[in-house]
Amino acid sequence: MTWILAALRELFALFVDDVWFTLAILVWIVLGAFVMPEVIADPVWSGPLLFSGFAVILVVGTWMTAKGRGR
Amino acid sequence: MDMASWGLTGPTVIVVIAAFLASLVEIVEALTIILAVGVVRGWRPALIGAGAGIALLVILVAIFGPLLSRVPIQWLQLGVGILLLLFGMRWLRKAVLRSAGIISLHDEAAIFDRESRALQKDGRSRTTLDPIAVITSFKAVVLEGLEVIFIVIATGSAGGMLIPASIGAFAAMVLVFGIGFIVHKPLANVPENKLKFVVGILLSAFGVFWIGEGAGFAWPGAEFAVLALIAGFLVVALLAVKLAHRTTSMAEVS
Repeated sequence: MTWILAALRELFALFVDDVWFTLAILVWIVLGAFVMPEVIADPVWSGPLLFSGFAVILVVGTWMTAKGRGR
Repeated sequence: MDMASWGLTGPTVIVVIAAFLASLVEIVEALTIILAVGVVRGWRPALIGAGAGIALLVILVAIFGPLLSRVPIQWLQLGVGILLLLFGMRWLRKAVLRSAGIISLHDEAAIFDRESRALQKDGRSRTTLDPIAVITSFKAVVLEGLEVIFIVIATGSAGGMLIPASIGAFAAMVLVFGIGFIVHKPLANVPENKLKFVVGILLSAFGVFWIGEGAGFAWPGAEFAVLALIAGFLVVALLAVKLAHRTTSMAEVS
């Protein structure tokens, strides 16, 4: 039983390391993949916009961690 | 005969490379534990544990694998995309922080020493099976193997490329276990952070692509948009390393 829990914990840890970072990604998936395409006029921008959000999350997420560790 | 007639299109080659590199990292981690068990407690329990772990993984794939074909393709693309993105961005974030010197590098030699000490502390069993050694080896193979299975499913299932992804993972297994069998040492020289950096970029790019496909996007350049996403994530990740490095350097100065 213990090792099944360990396996489940390991599986969860595959996807979640920093909770806020993961939450930001999930929120942008909902906004970028389902809300934004309804709002923007030209569908060709849907993909690049989706990518841009994740790019910002990566840069801001790592910068905030660096800022926190640097203090 | 050109590459396309062999089924070797750009995205297929990237799937093979992504599955190979991502699996390589996981298999190196499993090998480190198996080697520690083999060196400290003997090769018989190490191999029995590893064999039992592989058998369990094969059973899991046989049971759950066919269920994938029952999932509607758009849901599969979306689900796989989300998991790939979470997995890839997590690796990429860590690789960026390691490259910027903010968190320490993964050290296989240190893990090998730590596992060896823990195994030496537990008294050797008088039975020939040595359950502690068997379970340690078994756990390493099952836990890291589950990650390899996920990587193969995630990189290959949504685009109907399970076979290329499996080939990539299998090649990584043959390479790592082959070298491990010859040198009998943890593969400490594998540039794990660089690998995680590259794999994080590849998996994140595939993740974004499949989320878009699942959401019904018309990607410019169709499946070749993956290449643009890879280039985009590479630029952003390098920028993130510079920014994180500069932030910590400035904090140290002030």
